[in-house]
Order: sequence, then C-alpha cells, then structure tokens
Amino acid sequence: MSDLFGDVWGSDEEPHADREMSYDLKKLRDAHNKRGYLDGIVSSKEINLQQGFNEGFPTGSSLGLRVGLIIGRLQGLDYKYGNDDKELREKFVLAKKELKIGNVLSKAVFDPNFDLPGTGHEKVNEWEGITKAFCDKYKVNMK
Amino acid sequence: MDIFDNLLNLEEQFYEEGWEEGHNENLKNNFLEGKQFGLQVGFQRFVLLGQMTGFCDVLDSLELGNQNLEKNVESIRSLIKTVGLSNKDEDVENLEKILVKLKNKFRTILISVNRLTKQDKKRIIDFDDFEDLSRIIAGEVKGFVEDEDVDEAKTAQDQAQAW
Repeated sequence: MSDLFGDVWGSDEEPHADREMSYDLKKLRDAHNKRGYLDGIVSSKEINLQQGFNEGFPTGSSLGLRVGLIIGRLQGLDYKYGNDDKELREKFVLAKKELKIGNVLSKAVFDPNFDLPGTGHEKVNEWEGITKAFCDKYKVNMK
Repeated sequence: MDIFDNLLNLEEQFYEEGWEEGHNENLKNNFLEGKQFGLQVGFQRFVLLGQMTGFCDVLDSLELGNQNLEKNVESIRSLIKTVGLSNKDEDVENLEKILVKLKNKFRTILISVNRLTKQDKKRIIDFDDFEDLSRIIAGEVKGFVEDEDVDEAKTAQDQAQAW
C-alpha cells in the first residue's frame, strides 16, 4: 500500500517531482516527436512512387487485356448475332457496365496492399466464363 | 555535460524518432499510391488491344473469305503479340509506335467487315464507335470507389484529388 502511494504521490522529500518531470518530459516528447513526424511524412514525396507503379502496372495491364478481350468478343458477337439473340445482347449491355474500370479496379476487389486475392479477380473470371459460353455457341475460336 | 545539453539531446532524439516514423509511413503510402496508379494506367493502356483481339476472334469465325481482311486481322494479331505487359521503357515505346498502326489497320478492317456482312446502316460499327467503347471501359477513374461504403469512397476520391 505504501508503495502504491509512493508511486502515485511521490515521496515526502521530493513532493510531485517525478510526476511533474514525466509530465514535462511527455510534453517535450510529444512536441518534438510530432514535429519530426510531420517533417518525416513530407520528407520524400517521390520516393517509392515509381516502385509501386511498376508493381501495379503488370496486374493492371493483364486485367485491361482480359477485360478488352471479353468486350471485343461480345461486341463482335453482338454485331453479328445480337439482333436475334436477346440474351447475348443483354449480356453485352451488362458487361459494358460491370467491366468499367471503376468496377474492375474497385478497392473492394483488392486487399489492403492492392494485391488480388488468391482466387484472382472474381468479376473478370465470371465474365470470361459467360463469354466462353457464347463463343462455344457460335463456334468462335478463342485464340 | 550540463542540463541544457541533455535537454537538447533529448529534443533531438524525440524529433528523430518522430521523423523516422513519419518517413516510414510516407514511404509506405507512396508505394501504395504508386501501385494504385500503376494498376489504373496498365488497365487503361491495354483495354483497346484486348478489344481488337477479341473482335478479330469473332471475325475469324465468320469466314468472310476476303484475303485482304484476313491479312489485316493476321497483322493485328502479330503486332499485338509484340507488346510486353510491363512498364519497361522499350515496351512503352513499342506500344506507342504500334498503336498508330493498329488503329489504322483496324479502321480498314471495320470498313471491309461492314461491307462484307452487308449490315443495314443502323448496325454499322465504325472505328469511332469501337474506340468510344474502349474509352468508356477504360475511362478516367477518380480514385478507387467503394461500391457500398460511401464514406470510404469519399476518402478515396479526396485522396485521388490530393495526388
């Protein structure tokens, strides 16, 4: 019990000294730490941007290419058969909406480090399946 | 060492600690910002190439029996094959160069296709329509928009504007 009081109130010989010291120290630390942090966070605007860009780019291009393939195939099929194949036309219209960049690169698709999950891109996978079914139907060879 | 020296050392130490922390945070943020941007630019740069290839797949299946058309489709395919998916200087340079050729060839392809399939006027695809669709898909994106979470979408957009 006396230890506890000793900790909290300090000893009789040096009243409040520890507490005041650590309070001042904390204030000092906060002030200088914060100043350092602010200087640090603006210290290097450009560093690492390029490395990040280079890491994201191939994933982005591969997704762009795949999405382009889906759109191009559906567009070609729709051009030829869309007037008679209602389902095909509907899917083409839907694909144009769902595969826009904002949906494909939606934050929700990626993990916090902007990597795709192990299962890949679900939406794009799904549309590749839909497109393949139409390509099979109309004997389009997916090269 | 007197008390002022100690104090100054302490101040410096606290500052250094804070700086290190802020600096590391900054490096991590920069990396992720760059990565988002890389994803976006990579996507935008390749949609049109995929779209052309996909359209050519359908054209092959139609067996329109026109040699010129077949030749153009073939050269579209081989040109696209030369493009690397990376952001290396030679890949970027090559893509810029062949993009002009690709567009011209594809324009000719669409003209012959429209003629050969005798589509009525309403259904003709010209190159502008084709490219427009590519632009809609790859359009400018304002940050990474969260579908459900409005608050976060806002933050992402604010962040995008700050870049």
